[in-house]
Amino acid sequence: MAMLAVLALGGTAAARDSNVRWMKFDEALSRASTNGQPICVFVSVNPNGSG
Amino acid sequence: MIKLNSGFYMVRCADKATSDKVKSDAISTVIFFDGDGKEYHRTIVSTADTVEAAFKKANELYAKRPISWASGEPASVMSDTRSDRKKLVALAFLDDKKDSETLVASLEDRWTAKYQDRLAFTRVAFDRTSEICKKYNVSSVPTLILVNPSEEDAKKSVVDQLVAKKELASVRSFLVRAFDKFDRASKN
Repeated sequence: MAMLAVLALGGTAAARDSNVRWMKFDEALSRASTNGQPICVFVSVNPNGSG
Repeated sequence: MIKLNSGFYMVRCADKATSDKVKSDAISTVIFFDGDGKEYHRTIVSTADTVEAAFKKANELYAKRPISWASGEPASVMSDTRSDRKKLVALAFLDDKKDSETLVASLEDRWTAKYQDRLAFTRVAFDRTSEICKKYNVSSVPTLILVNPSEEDAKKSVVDQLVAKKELASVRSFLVRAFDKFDRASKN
């Protein structure tokens, strides 16, 4: 299921924008605090639970 | 074609530290956080359709919201708001110029929209000779004054004020600071 989701995310989001930039959560928080832009976190591996 | 992820900072969570921070509980989850770092939506995705639906929902939940201006004179708005101890009256001294439009746009932005629930907005046409401008010492436009309606004395009732056009981040900081001050005072 995780692989399917990665493909889905890639197919609908990342692949449509070749400039998509993945960043660390802390960096995203820092940037969001300056302009209010939201953050999307995709859990591709979950060390705390399933997967 | 809509770029679903445009307007979002994208983070891939595959390590324990990030997983702890976002409290991930299942693989293939997308979790959305607002500009204050507060989670506001999470869902599991598996197909292109579910990813698209997740982004659509996230955009709907974190969206610009038009201000609902109170009708009536400021005095009656104060009176009507007095019973709600959590609310402040926002006296917005505006004109039809761009700086006023910018201030209103900042108050309607998705980042600041959540504060609207705690504000009764009153639009006041700026006229420096008017009684209300004199009462609150308003001499320039735009000016936003947050007033505690429970306080009778005009000067004491002012929780904070924002003068002149400010960018979104400053308006948001102003609101955070003002409500922090108001909430702390309410507890005492």
